[in-house]
Amino acid sequence: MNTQSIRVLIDKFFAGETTLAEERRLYAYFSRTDLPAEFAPLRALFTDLGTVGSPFAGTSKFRVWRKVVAVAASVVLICGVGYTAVRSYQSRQLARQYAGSYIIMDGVRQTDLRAIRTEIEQTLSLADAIECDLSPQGLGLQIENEVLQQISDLEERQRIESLLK
Amino acid sequence: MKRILILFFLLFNLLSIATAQNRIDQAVERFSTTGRCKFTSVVERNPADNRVERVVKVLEIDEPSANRLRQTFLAEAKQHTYKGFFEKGVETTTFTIEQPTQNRIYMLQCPHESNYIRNAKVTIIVKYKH
Repeated sequence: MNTQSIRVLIDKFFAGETTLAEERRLYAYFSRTDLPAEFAPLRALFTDLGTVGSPFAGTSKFRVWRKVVAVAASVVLICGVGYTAVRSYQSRQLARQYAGSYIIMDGVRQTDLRAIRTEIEQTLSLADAIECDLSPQGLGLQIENEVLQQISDLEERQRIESLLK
Repeated sequence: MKRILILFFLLFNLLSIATAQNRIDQAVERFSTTGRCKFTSVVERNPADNRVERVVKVLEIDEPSANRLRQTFLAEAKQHTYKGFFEKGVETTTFTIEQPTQNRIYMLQCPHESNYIRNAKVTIIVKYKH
């Protein structure tokens, strides 16, 4: 880096127009031992600034971090509110459909509909299956199966089975 | 006199049906709070108006008192048209009670091994007519 370009950078620095990279180049230049005499009065200033780092750089880093934290906080907040809203909606829906349902397991009563939802659905499926089995069609099928099971001759059973279809 | 007798007979019939269903329901409720068992009571409602459409109660009991539950159930089942069948070592007994406002389905499942059982499952389905 020649003296002329350093002069240009120094002028830009005092005009407040230097970039972070340019400032780092200046600090590195002023840390040299073979510094030209014309820059000697500025050595202390740039050496000190190089030691503590640019105050502007710190501020911009802080601003970036603040933005990152703010965005992260917003995302967490939105997710939290959304999650709470969804849970609340689900609870209302469950209460509308199954309010009053409960489970007693070895003497312990559980009334949290969300916790027992799977059990509720399984119980209703079981009830559907029982109702289906006891319906006239279901009973008819049961009787057909019982009759078929009584026939030991495989060929005869298959023949009757095909007739029943 | 004849009317009174008919009325008395009808009332007695209704009362006996009500007592029968209550006896099983009461037994299920009683067993649900004592001993090793799992009792599930599901109330299914119409989401539009919250009216109860169906109540399903399932009691799974795993202790010697299952035998008493079975006896109570079978005693009641014999007062109705019941159906019993065996499949894969399981004895299933079902009967239904039709009433003006509701239909009730009762089902008992227990091992078909001996007269003395240690576990049983009772399912009661109450379907409301609206």
